Amino acid sequence: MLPFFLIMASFLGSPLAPVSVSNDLETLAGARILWSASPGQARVVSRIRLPTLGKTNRERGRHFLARYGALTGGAALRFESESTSKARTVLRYRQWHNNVVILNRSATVTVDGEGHIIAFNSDCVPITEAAPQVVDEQAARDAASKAIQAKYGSKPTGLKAIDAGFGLMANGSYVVPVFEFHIAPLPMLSHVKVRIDASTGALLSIRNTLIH
Amino acid sequence: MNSYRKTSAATLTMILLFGCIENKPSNEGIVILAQDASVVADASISPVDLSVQADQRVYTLLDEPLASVYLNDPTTDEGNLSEVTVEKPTHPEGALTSPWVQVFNCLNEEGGLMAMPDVGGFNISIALCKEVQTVRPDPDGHYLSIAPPAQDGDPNDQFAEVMMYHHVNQAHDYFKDVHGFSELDYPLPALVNVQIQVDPPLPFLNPGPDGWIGLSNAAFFPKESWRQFASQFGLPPRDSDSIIFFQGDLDFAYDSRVIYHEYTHAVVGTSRLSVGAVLDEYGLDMSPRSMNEGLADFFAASIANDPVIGKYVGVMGLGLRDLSNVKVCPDDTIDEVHAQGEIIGSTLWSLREAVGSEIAESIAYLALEQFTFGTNHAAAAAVMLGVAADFGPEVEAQATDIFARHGFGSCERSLRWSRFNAGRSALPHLVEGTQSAGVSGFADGVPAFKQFNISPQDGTAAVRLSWVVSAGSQGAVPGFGGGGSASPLSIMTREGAPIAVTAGRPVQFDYDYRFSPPLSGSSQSLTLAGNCLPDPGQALHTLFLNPGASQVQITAMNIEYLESAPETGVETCGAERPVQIDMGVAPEIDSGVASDVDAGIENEGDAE
Repeated sequence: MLPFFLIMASFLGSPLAPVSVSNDLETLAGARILWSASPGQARVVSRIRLPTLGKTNRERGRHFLARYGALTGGAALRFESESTSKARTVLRYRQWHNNVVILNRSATVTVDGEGHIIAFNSDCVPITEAAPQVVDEQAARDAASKAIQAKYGSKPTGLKAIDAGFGLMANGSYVVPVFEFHIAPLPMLSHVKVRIDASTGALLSIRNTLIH
Repeated sequence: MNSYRKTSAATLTMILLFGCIENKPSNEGIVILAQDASVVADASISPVDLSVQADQRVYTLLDEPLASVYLNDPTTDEGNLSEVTVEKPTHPEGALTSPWVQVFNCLNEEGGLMAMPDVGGFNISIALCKEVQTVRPDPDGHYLSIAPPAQDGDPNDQFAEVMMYHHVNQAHDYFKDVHGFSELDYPLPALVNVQIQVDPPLPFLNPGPDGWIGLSNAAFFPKESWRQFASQFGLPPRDSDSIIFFQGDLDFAYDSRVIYHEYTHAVVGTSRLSVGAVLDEYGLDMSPRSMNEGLADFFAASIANDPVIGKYVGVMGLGLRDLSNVKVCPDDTIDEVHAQGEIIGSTLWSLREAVGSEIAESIAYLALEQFTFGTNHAAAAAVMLGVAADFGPEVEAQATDIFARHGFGSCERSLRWSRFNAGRSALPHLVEGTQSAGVSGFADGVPAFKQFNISPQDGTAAVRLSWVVSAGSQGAVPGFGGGGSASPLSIMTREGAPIAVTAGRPVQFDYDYRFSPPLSGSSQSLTLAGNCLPDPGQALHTLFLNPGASQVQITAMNIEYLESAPETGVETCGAERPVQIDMGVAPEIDSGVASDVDAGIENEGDAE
């Protein structure tokens, strides 16, 4: 079992310290870090209070990620949103690969009221392999229709009117392109999200989108 | 901009036009003529005079109107209603719209939205109930005349609207005032009494005599799903999330904790804890979605100051879930998100009892804010402990201790293999397939959500494992989706440590042996002896793999310790135990053992 977390008395010299990190990580001494299964990448960094450059929280987040990019192994993160509640702002990022968003990867950077970075949380791992897209949107739409019909016995009327979402699904450092359709096999009672693997045309999943 | 936004805009216009409304002393009335909202007078003018003048309905709007509600639910409150001050409606006629919620009754009558999907080559029509804001204030400006209906199954009752209105406003105020949460600072659409009608009737949906189909549930409806739903059926769009409460034999809107639960889902939203399954070193992991449920339970319980969720909508007043029941990982790793959510729910409840509600709720909320799509138990615990440290070393130490006791964040997800029957008291174990897992890269099959381990006693010559499989099902509607035959499962073993799963292409497994027993009816069995068994004192970990496309349910399991090994149908794993088998090239052994798993296994049928 992986160690739950480490209190970093000294980052350099720790037997578990990744070799790829920059010297800036020395400033994380005393931080609580939960490492990812991918060597060298952090899932959670807390117990920090790092001054950063920038006038806005968004600029501060960008500065933090640039300075401590080794924490994500250089995964490409793009700002998505920020939300502020009492005394802190959470900046939310999505991971991208080759200008396509990864649907199941995100990260947050938390800034306190004085502009210090106080936490980092990430699903992100650098992508080293991407399956090519060989299925176009129409073929994916047909595959989604067949999948719904096979599962529910219901041919999804109106599927042509549904916008196809497109993105990547990551598994470790590997991504596959996917088309995504939100379909209601039975309105109000059953609403699902169908994902088609655009590298094979195969069904990847049908998920209920109503959260009970 | 959708119709709901337009209503809100109209309401805001009213407030701007008649700013005196905001300045009126409590309960000093504003009278509005329903059919001409531009005609407004203050309460110094007699409503009676106005009604006589205009021959129209007259509504008195109070700053602090009163209503009767269940503070909790009919069961907890023993049927007693309480008089409460409700949020002043912003709707010009006093319908139940506030800045934070817009409540609609979904009436079982014509005029609702229609959809006509093509089911198996023949057309059906689906009528949705008709969304209407039916409630208006009494002549005195209060809502006290609205009481529970004679039957809780009433599909059109107004009391559900009042309950929803009051408790959503309460939930909003809690998250706003206590935590500073502002992302739901708009009138969240909330539907009550939701039913649908299908023509011709579909028997498996159990329609009532009038053709309307009830469902005992409630849900958070993300805006992106509604948007696509509207596109699919040519319906008006809705540019915000919503919560919907169905009407079955019971009215889920009568249970305040169910309302708080669904509202918390809206707080969590779709950018946190929304990944169906992630992969970790033990297999697939549903902890992100299960924590979405567990946090919804925790905040609902904490707001209510009672650990029981769904006391009214649960069975026999016992509730759906009781967070004061200690749940731990791995023992309570149940393959259903609400059930597994009890691990974080009960962990946080324990924390609440130790450090108090204010600190526990702050830790939970401040951590939740930072969660990602796929934050799992380990990451969630690390974030929470980071937050707990801000409250001082004593709180941090207490949280660390409680998390450890619950196995929250530091859990070897391998359960003791024991006799098991899915049924009324136990849910089946699930093994996703390549077309249901949502994750690509499974060349050898999709791993289960947890592992099982065995530790034979001295003198055990063989161990016979057996299990029953059935085709899985998805979705909240019984009988809708799923079915078919189940594919047989493979099983991996590893001595001394759990099978290690590594993400990537292909997903890799560090194991000793892999077996693929044939399916006999719906059963599989495997007898292990010799080097297949662990050394004394060691555990043998096992992991089910599904090489098929669809989800498989394990509805029963059994284990028998044999004093002598059978002469046939036994796996002995050769003379030498492999020291280390490279990932992906371990010998796959077809046991050839075909036997029923009827010995001691009672398949009680469908799990709940």
